[in-house]
Amino acid sequence: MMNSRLRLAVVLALLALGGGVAALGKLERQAGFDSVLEIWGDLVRDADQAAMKAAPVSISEEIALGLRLANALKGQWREDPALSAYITGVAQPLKSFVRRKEMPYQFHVLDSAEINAFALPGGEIYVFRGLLDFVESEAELAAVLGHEISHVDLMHCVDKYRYELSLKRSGVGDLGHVVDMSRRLAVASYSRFQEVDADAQSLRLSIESRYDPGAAPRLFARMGAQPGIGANPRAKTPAGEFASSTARMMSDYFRSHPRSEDRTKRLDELIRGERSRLAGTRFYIGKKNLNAHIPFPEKAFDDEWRIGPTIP
Amino acid sequence: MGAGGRAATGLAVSLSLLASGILVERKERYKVFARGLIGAGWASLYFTTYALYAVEATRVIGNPIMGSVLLLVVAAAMIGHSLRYGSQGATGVTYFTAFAALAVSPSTPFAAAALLPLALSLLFIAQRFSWYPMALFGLIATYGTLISRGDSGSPLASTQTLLFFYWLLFECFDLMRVARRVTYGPAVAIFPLNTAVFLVLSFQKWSKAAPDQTFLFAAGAAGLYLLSAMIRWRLHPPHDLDVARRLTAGGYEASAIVSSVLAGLAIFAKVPGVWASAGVALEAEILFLAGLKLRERLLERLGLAGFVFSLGRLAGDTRRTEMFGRLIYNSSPAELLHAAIFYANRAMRGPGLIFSYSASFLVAIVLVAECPERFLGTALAAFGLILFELGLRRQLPEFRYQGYGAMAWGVMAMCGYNSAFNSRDGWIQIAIGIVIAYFMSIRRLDAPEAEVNYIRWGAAVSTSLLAVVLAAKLVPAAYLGMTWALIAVVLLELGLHGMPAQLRRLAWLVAGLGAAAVVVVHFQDFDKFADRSVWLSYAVAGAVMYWFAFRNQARPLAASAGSSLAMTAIWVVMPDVLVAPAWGALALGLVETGLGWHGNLVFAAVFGRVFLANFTNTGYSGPISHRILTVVPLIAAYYHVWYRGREGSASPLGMKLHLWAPAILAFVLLRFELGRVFTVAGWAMLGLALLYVGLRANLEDLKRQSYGIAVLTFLRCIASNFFVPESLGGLATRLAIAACVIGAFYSSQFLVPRGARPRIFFSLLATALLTSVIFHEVSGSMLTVAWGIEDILLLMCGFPLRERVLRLSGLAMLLYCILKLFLFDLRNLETMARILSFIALGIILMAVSWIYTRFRDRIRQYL
Repeated sequence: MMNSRLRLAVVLALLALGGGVAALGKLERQAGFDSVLEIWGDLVRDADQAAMKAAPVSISEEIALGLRLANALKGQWREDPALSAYITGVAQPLKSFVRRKEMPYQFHVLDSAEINAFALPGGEIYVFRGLLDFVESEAELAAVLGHEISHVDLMHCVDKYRYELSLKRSGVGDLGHVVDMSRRLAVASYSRFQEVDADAQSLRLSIESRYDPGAAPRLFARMGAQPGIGANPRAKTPAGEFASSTARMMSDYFRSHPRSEDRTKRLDELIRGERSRLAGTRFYIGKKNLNAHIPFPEKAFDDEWRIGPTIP
Repeated sequence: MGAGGRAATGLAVSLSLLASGILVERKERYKVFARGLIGAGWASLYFTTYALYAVEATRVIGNPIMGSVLLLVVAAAMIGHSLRYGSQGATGVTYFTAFAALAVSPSTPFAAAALLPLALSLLFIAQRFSWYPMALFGLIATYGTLISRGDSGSPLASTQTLLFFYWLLFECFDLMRVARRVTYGPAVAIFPLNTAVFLVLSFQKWSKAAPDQTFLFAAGAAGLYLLSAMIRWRLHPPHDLDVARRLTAGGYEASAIVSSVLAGLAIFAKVPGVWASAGVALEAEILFLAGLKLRERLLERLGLAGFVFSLGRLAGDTRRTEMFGRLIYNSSPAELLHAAIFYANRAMRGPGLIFSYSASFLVAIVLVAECPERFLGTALAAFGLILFELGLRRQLPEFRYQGYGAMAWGVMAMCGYNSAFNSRDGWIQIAIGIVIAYFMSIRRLDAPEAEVNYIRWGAAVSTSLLAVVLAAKLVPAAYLGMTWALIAVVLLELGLHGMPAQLRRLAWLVAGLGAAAVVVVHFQDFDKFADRSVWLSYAVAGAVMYWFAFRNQARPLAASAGSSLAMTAIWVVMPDVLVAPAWGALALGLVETGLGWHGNLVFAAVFGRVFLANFTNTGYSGPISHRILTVVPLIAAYYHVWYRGREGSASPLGMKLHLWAPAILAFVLLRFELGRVFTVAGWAMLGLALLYVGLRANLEDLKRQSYGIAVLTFLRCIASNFFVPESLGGLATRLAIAACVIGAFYSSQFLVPRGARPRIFFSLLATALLTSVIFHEVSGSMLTVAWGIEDILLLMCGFPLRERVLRLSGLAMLLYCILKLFLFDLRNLETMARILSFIALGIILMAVSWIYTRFRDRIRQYL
């Protein structure tokens, strides 16, 4: 065994070496309890997933639920049939790579300036016109649609109503509603990670469909730059850093979506991880398709192709 | 009838009345009537004599002197006749008429001078017969006559001479009264009345005739009263009387007071400006010394009153004058004279503390007034030192006390003037002050112990305070806090070496001040990557606090403060991801230098910091993440400290921290480094490694960690590992990871000694996970087949490996597969086929039952 002084020297050398090598890389100003939230989210998700398996929901039940919720939405916004047809065309190649291929996806464009999109159980996908105006290419639109499809495919949407549906079979549907509400509160921390999962799945769908995977982080970066969505100011003291990190953790716990900057960073990491594998692959951007409202599967413009994923 | 006839008639009538009266007086029964005739005769004669000159109708005498002489002759005869009766009233009436005659006679020098013998005769009679009311009457009549005649414009010398003789006449009478111990009645009013009228009339005359020379009269009068006082003192009225009685008895006090006041007036009238105060001081000193010599408290008090008066007059004088080429306050020389006088008085009079305190105070005041501000502190301190040395060598505590006061004043001046007025060479004065104060703090002292203690404290406080001020003057504000902290180290070391011991506690104050200054001064500009002065200040202050801890000065507090400051410095200067390793190095240093408890605290902070910054950080250096580069060395650091503690006598809680923290960090690091799919494989390997080391080194904690990690790995695999979308690797990767985890669990099983419960635990986990993997990867009727193969493999392995748990789990699973086959998988068969299936099941069960019964002992042996 090494003597104590030698051991100390080795440990100090390790600390110095590790720090020195880290200093050679790009050092980011990054402090927060995101890691704690993520670990907590892991725990909650593991527990939740195990419990979910005890309350299975069939596809027909999920579709019926989706239709019921979609009917409740009718009348609130006017649908644009032409644009709905266009995004259905854009989503067509994405649907080919989902896990639950039997899901009957329906795509709707609602006439609202809001920059948003959402999915209902059973494959009902809604996109606001404001989001269509915000995206700059069809690849970005595909990223959004892939994200919402992934929520359905990964059963995130139906998870919210899982206990209600299961207990309704036993004749106590109302109790199921209460259980679902309680669960949503309990898993608030990890619902953000469902978004991360959906982002990751969406990225896979884009890659498989030959849409540029770099479009997603680009889109989120632009959304993050929107007024009112800026990053938090940096703390000036250690105590301030701890306090702001704690406050941010508390607010993030109940945040349904991760921050745009975090999503951008995660997607960047995923793309970098796949870069060597995708180095020679051609990906489609589709700015002209978006302007002309002609989906890429129907018509591809030659100058919209890129070799390898674009990295912002 | 002409004027002569009228005068002759008057004289005849007067003399007739007088003669008749004298004749009839002899008969007792007509005595009253006779005295009426006598009175009327004298009155008539006196008036007729007056009329001889003064009344036009009867004027027979043209010379006024002749007229006056005649009148006085008549008056003298009248007084002489009155004395026959021995009656104060009768004599008084005759004197009244005499004075009246002079009052009404023409105003001539003769008339004025004529008052003198009249008064003299009156006083003689009063003295002779002890008729003091008549003496008082004479005084009033004399001065009244003089006043009634007014100032005739006679020369100052003659008037003053006349007044002097009047005064002398009545003063002598009063002195004789004093000699006869007459202390009651109207006689006591003679002195004050004589003094008042004499002084008023004289000053009136002087102010008209020679207003610029009044000081001469004041001085002369002061001399007269001084003489009077001396005579009266010689006559020494009884000393047992109180002041009021002594005054009425004609003691010297009143004369002395009048003399003092007159002398003072003379000085003020003659000497200009502040020198008048000096003159008064000298007069006061004379009085004081006289009182001292004669043992007369009144004189001493008069002297003191004189000093108070002169000092009071100086206090209000703010004028300046040029002396030796520079402007000085007018009052300064006079104040120095006072100080000299006071010191002399202190020397002459043993317990005269008031004089020495006043003298020193005056010198200090002069220093404050005349010394340039930048030298003032030093001058006061030096003066204090002189006083202190004097007090010490002569064993005069009061001078030592004055020295303390002057030095304290000097220290305040150094702190105030020399720093506030920003003089360029002010630091030199402060440095000199430090030398003086420090000399005081270590000087050998022959004084009472309590006083020595106070001196040490005072000097130590002054030294510390001046050092702080000196630093504030020389060092820029950004580095002031750390400089103060360094000064605290010097003070501490001096204090610990007993030079003096009081500095040890003061060092704490200065160190606290330094630390507070570091925080306050850099409050505004504090930020990540702030200016060098910020982190350097925090680092130095932290090092100083650690020094205090190493020197065993309030070790917990000092070390805590040191850690806080040092950690803050590191936070400022280091990028986010490098803060935790730097803190780790600091914690190692603390542990190695004997501050183990505080090292553990810093290690605890490191643990939290890793979660705050390092796990969140996503940076890379080449292919290696910053998480690995920073967290792995920290894990090594924790284990090192644990190992070190194992060799020594570390606290059990600290040992636990250093054994559990690295395991948790490694666990979380694997979670972030490997991603959700591969994490479980890493965890499984980590658990296996911990179990191996735990078994080899017989460390129960490591074994427990491996159990916990195994449970978490298992749960993660069961709950979500097979649905992770981030896996772009596909099915083969998932199976490889599952195989890795299951293999790790089975390996753990075989690492654990036979008979130990963890062996069963790991085996069951591995089997359950294998079953779960097959469930997720195989669907339909093939699932039962796959599970059946798994069960057979378990049984096959269980027998040769002599693993009972494998055999039992394989058997249980096989039983479950058979039941599943018949109850679930074959439910879709036709009725007949299902009947046959159940018959077959019954046969199998009967066969199993027969085999179990037949080979019970052997089966028990295997199971």
